[in-house]
Amino acid sequence: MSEKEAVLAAARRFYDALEDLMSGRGRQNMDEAWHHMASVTSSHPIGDWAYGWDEVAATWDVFAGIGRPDLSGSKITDLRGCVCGDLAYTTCIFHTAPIVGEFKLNCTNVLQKVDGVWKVVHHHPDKDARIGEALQRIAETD
Amino acid sequence: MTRPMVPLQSRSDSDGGFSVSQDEAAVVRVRAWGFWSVEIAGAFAKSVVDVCRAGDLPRSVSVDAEDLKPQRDEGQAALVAMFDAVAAMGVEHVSVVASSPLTRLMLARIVKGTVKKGFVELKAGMR
Repeated sequence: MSEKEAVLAAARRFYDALEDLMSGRGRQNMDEAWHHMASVTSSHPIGDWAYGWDEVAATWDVFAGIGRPDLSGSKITDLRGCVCGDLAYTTCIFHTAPIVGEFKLNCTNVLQKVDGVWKVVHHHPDKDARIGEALQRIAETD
Repeated sequence: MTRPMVPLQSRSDSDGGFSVSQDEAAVVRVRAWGFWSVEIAGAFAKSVVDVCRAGDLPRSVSVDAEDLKPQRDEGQAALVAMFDAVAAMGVEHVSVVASSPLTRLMLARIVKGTVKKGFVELKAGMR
């Protein structure tokens, strides 16, 4: 497997983990998709920047907390990547689950190879307040 | 007769913190911000309870969480402990204002799962 293939596989693991998390299958695979370092960063379609693994994990906790089977159905398309040494970035289009509203978000991820393993160190999707409104309704009415 | 202001309690570090005071209308006012360490989370509920007990029982607790980030288990547990403690003391109502949609999602789950219906009112902030 080439480095680029390994990066794209790591990015797919991240989105598979996101699907698991939103489907109510917990945060374990999301934890494994990230390097747990103080330098990692993340934002989401809603909310502010999270700095460092503790803050990043707390944001995934929020999504895990509302996860349930009918929130499944997200997918990515047009995944592309570029490798520069032990750092790489990917871009893709993330399609939210139907119950959320089937929004399409441009996403960028930065991955780093540490001890021979590519994992996410930065995640940045488009902002879309409509997703927050949909999730809030779901969280309050289930 | 004007009530004396109950002294402010606060804990903070570079990443987050909270402050608690009681105003003249017998409302305990809490400001919570940032991301809490284990130490700050551990001090939160007791600080709010201490201020509630320092004067006449407050009718309500108002929480400004405009700048509060989503919290790990310790921070979530601290919020739950505070809601439960002030409910047990006889406080009638808690209002929480949060700007971050992620923080509101966290709070919505906490409120739904742990506190009697209608006791905590969650509002969107203006930031």
